[in-house]
Amino acid sequence: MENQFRKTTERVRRFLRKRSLQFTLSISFTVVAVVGMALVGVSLAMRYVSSTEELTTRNNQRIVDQVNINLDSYLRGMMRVSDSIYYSVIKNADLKKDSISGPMSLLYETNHDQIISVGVFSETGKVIAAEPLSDLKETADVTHQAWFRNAEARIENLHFSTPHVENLFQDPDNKYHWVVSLSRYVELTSAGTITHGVLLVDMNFSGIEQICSNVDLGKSSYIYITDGSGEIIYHPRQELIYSNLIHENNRKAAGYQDGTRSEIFENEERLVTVKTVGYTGWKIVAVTPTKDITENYYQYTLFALLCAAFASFLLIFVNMFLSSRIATPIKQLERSVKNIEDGDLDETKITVSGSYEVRHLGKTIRSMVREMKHLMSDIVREQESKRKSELDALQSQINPHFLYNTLDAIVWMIENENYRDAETMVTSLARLFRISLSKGRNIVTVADELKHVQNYLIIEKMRFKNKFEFTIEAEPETRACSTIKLIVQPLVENSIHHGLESMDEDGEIRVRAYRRGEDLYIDVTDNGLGMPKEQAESLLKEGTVTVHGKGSGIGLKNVQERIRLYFGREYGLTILSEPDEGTTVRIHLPARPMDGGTA
Amino acid sequence: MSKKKIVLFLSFLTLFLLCYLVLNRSIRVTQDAKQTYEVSVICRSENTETWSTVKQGIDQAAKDRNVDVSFITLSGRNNAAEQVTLLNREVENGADAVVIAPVDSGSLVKPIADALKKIPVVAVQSTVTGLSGLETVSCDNAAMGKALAREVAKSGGSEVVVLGNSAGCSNVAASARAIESELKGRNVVFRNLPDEIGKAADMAGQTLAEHPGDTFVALDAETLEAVGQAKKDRKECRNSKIFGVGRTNKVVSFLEEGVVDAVAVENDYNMGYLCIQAAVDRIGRRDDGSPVVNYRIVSRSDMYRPENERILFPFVR
Repeated sequence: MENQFRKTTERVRRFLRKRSLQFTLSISFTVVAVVGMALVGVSLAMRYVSSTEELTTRNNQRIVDQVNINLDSYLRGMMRVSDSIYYSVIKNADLKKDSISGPMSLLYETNHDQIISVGVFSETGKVIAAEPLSDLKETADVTHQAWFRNAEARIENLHFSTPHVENLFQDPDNKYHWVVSLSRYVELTSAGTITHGVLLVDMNFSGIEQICSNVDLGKSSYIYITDGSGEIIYHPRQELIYSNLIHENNRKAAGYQDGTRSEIFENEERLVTVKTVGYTGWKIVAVTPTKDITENYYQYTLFALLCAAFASFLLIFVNMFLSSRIATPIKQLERSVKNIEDGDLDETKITVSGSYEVRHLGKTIRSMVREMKHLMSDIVREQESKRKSELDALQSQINPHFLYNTLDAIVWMIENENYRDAETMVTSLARLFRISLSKGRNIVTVADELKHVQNYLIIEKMRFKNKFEFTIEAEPETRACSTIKLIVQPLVENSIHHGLESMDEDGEIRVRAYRRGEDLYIDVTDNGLGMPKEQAESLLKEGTVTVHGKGSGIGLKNVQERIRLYFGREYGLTILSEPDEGTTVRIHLPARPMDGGTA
Repeated sequence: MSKKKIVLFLSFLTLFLLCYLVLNRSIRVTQDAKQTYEVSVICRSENTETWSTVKQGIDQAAKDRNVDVSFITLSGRNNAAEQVTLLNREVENGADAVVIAPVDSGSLVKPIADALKKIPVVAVQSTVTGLSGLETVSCDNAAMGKALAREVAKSGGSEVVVLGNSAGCSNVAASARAIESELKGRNVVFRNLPDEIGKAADMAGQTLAEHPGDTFVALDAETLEAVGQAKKDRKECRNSKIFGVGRTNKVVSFLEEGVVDAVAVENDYNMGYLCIQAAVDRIGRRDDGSPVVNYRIVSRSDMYRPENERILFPFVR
């Protein structure tokens, strides 16, 4: 059981872990609210059912008690009549000389509403006195009547019969009355001799009926009376029972103890309250069909269900609204953070909404991103600056070596009195340095850069004793375009040292600047040894070191990095080479005029 | 809140409103189911003891089935024209159903057929022939007639005079046919008495005087009373045997005195109750078939047996 509970809890937890915050909040609030409401509803319904049953039981008990009091009072009244006739009339009379008809008539008249007849019979069934009629019918067999036999059988008691038609006396009006007979064994004195007889008081059945028929138990509830053996004495539908149109559970009810119980009779559940009437042993039975009590349950249940469903529906919407109010700003913030992760550092796109706490969180993230952006731009600036410094330093490293060789060549020319070439070389060197300095600027015109290359080539051509020829061409519209200083010279230097130096025949270097649309190209082409395509591609790859030939490829990479640092990654170098055919290194730059606008 | 959610919210709200209305309607329908029906009961004579007992059954059924009953008696016995007028009047007045004891199984066929087209009609005690939609509440008159004839047969005597005044009523006719059939081999004579009670009593007396010592069978309670009284009054008729159908207090006292030898008694209370029940069932379009009313043959010796006592002495409340 505990294991199962733990498994279920874990399953729910796993399920919720995969769901959004809004879903989790909505479902949790809704489940708690609906379960709470269901518990309240069920407990109220149960309370309603039990209190209704309790109320009905109490009401039935109260009414049965009241009927019992009334019936007991009525029966005791009849018993008092019997006692009066016996103790005040019969016991005081000697039948030989006294007539008891007068006092009996008086008692009858006093109670004639409730009594049909009174009579005193001898042991043989002869009428000694009777009121209001005294002539027996020819057919009347008194001694065989049940009331007579009961009185003789148990002489110490008063006996109440079940309802029957009074059939003793001749009635000139041909009236037949339903009566309940009260009989007792009596001692009769005649001429001093005591004989025995039976005193009969026939009570009008309508007296009992009146006591019971005015009882209102509500709806289809009713009350009935049986004797101790279950024979019906009164029932509101007595005729229907006698006609077999309906049935009653009277035989079984006669065996019930006093109190309330439920029974099922003819597939109908009923609440039955039983009370035994004192002395007679009769049972008063109040019957309330359970459907009377539960009649409204269905409607109440439907109403309750409708209310519960409506309340649940409102709660679900309120929960959805509340959870949305809580979760949506968090979701928006989460999306903003995801954008930041993806590199979008636009702080204005970070949502600041929702409750105070979430707004505060949004503002904090905004401030954090702003700070991060500052830090990142500082780092980038620092890195760029550092890189430029390194590249400038590398560029400046070339100069002393070249200067030493050039000056050595000049010295050699002067020693050989080749003053004219020495002058040319010194002049070119001076111009080279003038352009190199360029007042400290890194950006120069294409014209200046090509002049610089021209001076360098003049010097190198003289150093290499005219072993190669060179041409420099530039389309006129390219000359005013801007370029980074000293990017062509390292390429020309590579052409001389790697392409032409080991060639037997005359080399040729061609530098050409041209424009295609918004792009500027400067090609450095030699007819040297060339190289395989793979080698050409590897020269510009980052992280690779070329081990072929004399160079390390650092010069090419420096140029490439400087171009990309200044103009972006779409610009740079392309190497086109075929073994034994020569090499072209193409510089790709944006065609921008020196003043910074578009050329 | 998004537009979609607002639409959803309003849809649910409408749904709940509809449920509430449907529930209210169902409660109203339940209450309507307990509505009062108006049923008219048209007797075939003036108010008699027999019809008083029938009325008690009607009243009990009216209470049980929530029926408002108009109990209509005729100004005289077996007045077919008056019954037709009353039937038409009750149908026109908007009764939900009519219970009728047709005085003439022939002349009332058409009026009842016309009424049946508008409202349910239930025949009680007697009926008309040839109407398929007409439900009849009565005892098995043929069986009752035969049972009574067997009692007659036990008494001996070869001459049997059958007296009645409602030959047009199906129940009387059925009983008469059954008696004749059961008493084959005996001389059975039929005599029709006038509708007026006084004249009927005189004629019964004359008939009794004309057939001293013969056996007489009265086909209704009023005739039985008249024949019984005639026997009691005329010394020359003391040896006549009298049997009959129906009960009144006087008939019961004649039975107890030995003036009447045996009677066939229908359960009148039962008949009253069942006719209203059948009418309500018909209004509710239920058809459980025509219920049969019980009867008993009661003689002087067994009249106080509980089962006979209950049918012979109905509770008067």
